[in-house]
Amino acid sequence: MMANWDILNKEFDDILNNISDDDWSDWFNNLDAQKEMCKMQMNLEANLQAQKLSFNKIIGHLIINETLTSVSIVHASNIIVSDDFYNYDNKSKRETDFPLAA
Amino acid sequence: MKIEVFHTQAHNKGIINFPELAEGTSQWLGDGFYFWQDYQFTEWWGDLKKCKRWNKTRKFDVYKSELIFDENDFIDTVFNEKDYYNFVKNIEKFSKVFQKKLRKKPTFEEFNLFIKKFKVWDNIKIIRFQDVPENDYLVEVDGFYYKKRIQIRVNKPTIISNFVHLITKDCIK
Repeated sequence: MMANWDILNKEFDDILNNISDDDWSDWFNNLDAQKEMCKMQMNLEANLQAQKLSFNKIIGHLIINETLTSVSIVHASNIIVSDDFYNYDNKSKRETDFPLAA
Repeated sequence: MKIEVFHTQAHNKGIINFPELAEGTSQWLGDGFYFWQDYQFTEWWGDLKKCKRWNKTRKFDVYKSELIFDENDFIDTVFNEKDYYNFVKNIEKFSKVFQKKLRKKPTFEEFNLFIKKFKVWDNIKIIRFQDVPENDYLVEVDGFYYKKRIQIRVNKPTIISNFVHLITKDCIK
């Protein structure tokens, strides 16, 4: 489905065929003011969208951090409850015997 | 519908987090956010338009973004025949009435301000169009401009998403 030209053509014709001469003049004489207004509106919408995107990024980072933290906790708990841990004899639990992290 | 597009800006404002609004009569269809559909035109455009003397940094940036929109809100004058011929028909219809009323040819910008003012095509958020390439260094056969130089103009910033910086380039000129 693309742009609906039955509707778009009708919209265009309705306006073009029904604007009075006064409306034309009025519109044309106020182009600068309208331009300024359009620009302001577009900039405002752009600022809002930029803030929304930044906010989404922050939320995304927070979720990733939260997830990574949860994963670390799960890993840590796995180590604590693993059989290897319990079978490790007391002697080898000395800090110097643990391999260095890769 | 989602399309990936590119945007070029001078580096004098640093890395930006949203595309710049292009304003003025020289813009195709007036004020809006303009993007390239193909990456290859971004660097050429940066050197051509973003490396003028006012750009003291002598650098420009290329960004990537996603446009997410409903297909009904999209006029595609590049790949859709129906969109192209209807678009041309409406512009010429407008020009005819405009000339009759105001005794001069309208500009792109006046067409754009007209549809904005009278809320014609209010749901249209994005238009895809092309201009004449004439870039010998961007084609593989000299003088044969077989590639479309496709641009996208967005007039509703709400469809712009995932705007990210890709690369900072030094000006060649």
